[in-house]
Amino acid sequence: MWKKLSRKFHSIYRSRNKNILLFLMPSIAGVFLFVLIPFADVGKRSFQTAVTGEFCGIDNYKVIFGNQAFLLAIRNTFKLVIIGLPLLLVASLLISLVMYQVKWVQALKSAFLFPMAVPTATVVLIWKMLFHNFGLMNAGLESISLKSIDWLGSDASFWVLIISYIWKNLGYTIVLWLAGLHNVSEELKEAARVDGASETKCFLYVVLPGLKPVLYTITILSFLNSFKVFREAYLVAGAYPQQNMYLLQHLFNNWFTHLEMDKIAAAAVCITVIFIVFAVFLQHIWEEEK
Amino acid sequence: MKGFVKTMKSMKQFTAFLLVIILTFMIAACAKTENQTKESEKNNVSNGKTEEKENAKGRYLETIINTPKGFIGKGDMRRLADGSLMIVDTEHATKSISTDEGKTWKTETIKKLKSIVEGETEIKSVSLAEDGGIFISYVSWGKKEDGKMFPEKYFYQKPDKTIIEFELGIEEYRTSMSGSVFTADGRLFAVMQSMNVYEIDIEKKSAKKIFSLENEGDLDMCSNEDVLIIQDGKKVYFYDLNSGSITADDNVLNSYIEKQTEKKYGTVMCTAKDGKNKQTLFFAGSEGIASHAIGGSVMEQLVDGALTNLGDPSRTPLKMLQNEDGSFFILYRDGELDSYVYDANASAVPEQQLTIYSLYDNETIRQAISVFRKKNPEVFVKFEVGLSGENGMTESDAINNLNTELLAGEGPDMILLDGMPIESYEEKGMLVDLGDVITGLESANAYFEGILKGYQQKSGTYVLPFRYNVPLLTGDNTTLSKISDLKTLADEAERIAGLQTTKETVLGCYSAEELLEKLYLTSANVWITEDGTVDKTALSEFLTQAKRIYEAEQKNLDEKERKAHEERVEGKKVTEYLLESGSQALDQFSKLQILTAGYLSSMLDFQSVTSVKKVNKNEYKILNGQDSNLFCSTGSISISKNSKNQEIAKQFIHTLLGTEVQGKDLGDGFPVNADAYKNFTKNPTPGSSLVVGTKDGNGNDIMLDIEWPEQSEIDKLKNMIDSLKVPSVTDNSLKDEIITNGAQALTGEKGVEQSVEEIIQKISLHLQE
Repeated sequence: MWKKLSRKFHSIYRSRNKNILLFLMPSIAGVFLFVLIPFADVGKRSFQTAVTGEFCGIDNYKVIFGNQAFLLAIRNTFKLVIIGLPLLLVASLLISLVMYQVKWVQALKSAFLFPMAVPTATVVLIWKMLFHNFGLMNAGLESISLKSIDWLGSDASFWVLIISYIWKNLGYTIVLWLAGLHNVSEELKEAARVDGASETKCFLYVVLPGLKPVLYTITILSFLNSFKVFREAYLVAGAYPQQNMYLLQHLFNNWFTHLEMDKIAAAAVCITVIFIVFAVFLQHIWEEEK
Repeated sequence: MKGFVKTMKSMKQFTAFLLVIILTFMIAACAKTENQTKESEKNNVSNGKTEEKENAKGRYLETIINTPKGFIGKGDMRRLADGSLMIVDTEHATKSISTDEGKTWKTETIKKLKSIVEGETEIKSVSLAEDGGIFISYVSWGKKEDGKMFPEKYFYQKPDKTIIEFELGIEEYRTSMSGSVFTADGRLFAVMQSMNVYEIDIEKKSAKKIFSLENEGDLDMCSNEDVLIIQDGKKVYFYDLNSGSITADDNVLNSYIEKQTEKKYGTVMCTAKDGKNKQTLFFAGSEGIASHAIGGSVMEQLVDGALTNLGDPSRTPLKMLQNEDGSFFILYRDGELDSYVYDANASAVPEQQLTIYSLYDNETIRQAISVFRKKNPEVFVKFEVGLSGENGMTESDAINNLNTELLAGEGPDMILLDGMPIESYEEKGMLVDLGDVITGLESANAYFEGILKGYQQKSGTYVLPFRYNVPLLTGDNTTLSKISDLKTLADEAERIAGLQTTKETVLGCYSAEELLEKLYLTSANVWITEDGTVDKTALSEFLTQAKRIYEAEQKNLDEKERKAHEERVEGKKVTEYLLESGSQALDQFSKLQILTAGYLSSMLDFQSVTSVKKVNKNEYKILNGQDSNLFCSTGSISISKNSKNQEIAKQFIHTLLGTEVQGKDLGDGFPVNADAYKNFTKNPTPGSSLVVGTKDGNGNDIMLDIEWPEQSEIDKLKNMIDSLKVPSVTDNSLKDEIITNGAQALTGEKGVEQSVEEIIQKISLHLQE
């Protein structure tokens, strides 16, 4: 990866537009100043004790991997990504395909961004109304003679997270998919149809490969947004929610209250490594297929 | 074409250059603004002058002025027309005049007043006129006068000492005077308890109602030639003396007064004209002295309460005057007269600063700051309250903000640890070992050792409690002798509930949640083991015994009683009716419960307990649960390792735990200093008594005389306190889970074992972290 980056820099440097580097420098400096250098400090702290700053080797890493709360938070966060992310991608793609076909629905495109504009505090109120023991969801279940569910106090709480995540990000992802669909060449699709391809084949062999460039962006953005579902979970169920709702940010928040900076640093390093591996993996697949 | 392209190219380059310049300026401007903001915040000392520099000069300095001998703050003070100062002392029936600003006083007896105070009378209001006239209203309780709820009488002593005596029968004697004031031209106005304002004509011996105040609250009055000004704790009224009309509301003033009164009763005011002949109002309250140009839109803070006696919760101002040179005189209710003179050369705040941080406001700390300030005028003690209730911050937000500062190597010098993660701070080495402070304290005074060293660990003592509540159980002697822990409490509860004669509850708990709230305090310590896991057996035992007590509680209850209880406690805090021994004792007197289990937090609580004891032939003892000899800390302090003022902080602890601060009962717990216990338990108003009216189980009115505890009771309580040595749980993060899930076990919705499993599952996250 570093070789690739350095090659890119060299090619920019050699190119006629050397001024590009000048323009890039402020943002690169910003990334160094506000992201990379602080993260290096976090990396250093992950090998030190919390307040006194004494070197403690890999003790912090040993502690967090033996910490049941950390493992639970990791499990829940991964579960959310593994279930929520594909659900979001597939649901949004299907809806965007329908919207792409029915042109007048596209006029409602901006309305799909509405959930992102609603303040979290308001969303939380709606969530409480929906998922309370005597809330709308249970009223709905009871109206069709089904047993009500303790949404926030039982294992069902995980699905509250999934619903929250999909509701919030669906519109935005649809808009991204629509942008991708508009970039797929109409001529290619027309040619495929003339050659006798069915609509399914046309979708599988023309549209879908055409959407691959946008897939990478959508996946990364949706993955990052999955971490933001914590805000709703925290405001709905507090610092110690039902176990299935307990995410990494809950843990970090509670650790910070107890000044467990050593554990936070070690956990942050681990999460970053996982994220980089995931991103590189996606990029690798994307570039390989390109 | 080539020329056009070239022009376009150079335009692009120019635009790019311009953008870079703008960006650079923006970044520089942002940085500068941020620096300026920080600087301004840093210099925003609490006297409200936002642009003062760190080394700014100019401050009102507080100095004690002599008062007439024996004056204890009962009476009034006024600047007379000839410039002399007059104080009338209603306790000793004297009038004192000083012509040298309080250096010397010439005192003489007011004979008429002397004859009044010697009888069974109560002085209701005193006001002094500019010409030296004295108006006094009093109620004679000695003689029973039919049809007069308040047999209020008045007398006015003219400057030539002739006396005018009269009665007015205002509102047919159903009210009495709350306050009165003479205007500059000698007109007399009074506010009655009914909150109606009257103008009193002394010569004609008549009263005319002018208007009514809207709120029943903190009252103060003042006037000048043109306006009568009255404040009722929420609103300030301006009555035009010439036109007889009330001017429009001053919203700035009203909101200031309301905020002041919410914090503490006793805001006084005076009025004077500024250099531009504009009328200005001055207020003195717990936050200091503020001024407001009448009709203006701002309140200007002149004096910071934290730097004066005004910030002391045990001190309340009685009267305020502004002198010709712009300085102020404030007379306190304890008889002290202080002057506040502006010194342009004094630094705006003392150069040395000690910061104390607490999640919640604390009366004892404010009291200690006031005492410490007098001993160390060169040190400014700043008290930061994290949860002021004004910024919507949660407890967790406040702790996180504090942690950020601590981790950055900054933060307050001292931290009050109530509601904070004490153990984390200790484990992470954030706190200073106070071992040497304890040694110093013990060499100066005797302390309740078990409490003082309650937080001692093998590695040191990082936290010192300075106030605490005493867990107390009251009931008949035979029952109490059989109760030693939670199990025996459950045994007795079952026995009592099963008696034919029992019609009331045993502990006054009407719901499972209330009962668990009550029992949590003395048992929570034993549920978590040293290695941080839940002791399943102990928790299971707790719920089993609690279930037995709950069933006993419910045995003699019906729906009507439950509803009456709900109405009775609506809007009250749980601690008020469920845990405070004083209010429970009154319920015990009212035959609503047989035993009381809770805590004593003040002498008022203890007074109620001992008063009920006399009537009910009760006894009291330390309440033990699964754990024993507990004390409930209501205030504990530590010093941050980041502090650069550790020595000053240690001196502050000496003041905080010294006899002067510890000897005052501020209603927030008992003293740790055993030498101060004597003063703490001393009757502040000997001879006075309090009668409380309530209803018995049948709805009949009953009265209880609340009397000061006898010395034998005070000594008995001291011995009981001596046995306390274990701090109760202060981290309440597990309480909600235990109460919510445990209540289901008590009501039978779930089995005890199932509830225990669920509680463990719920709280395991806390413990695993």
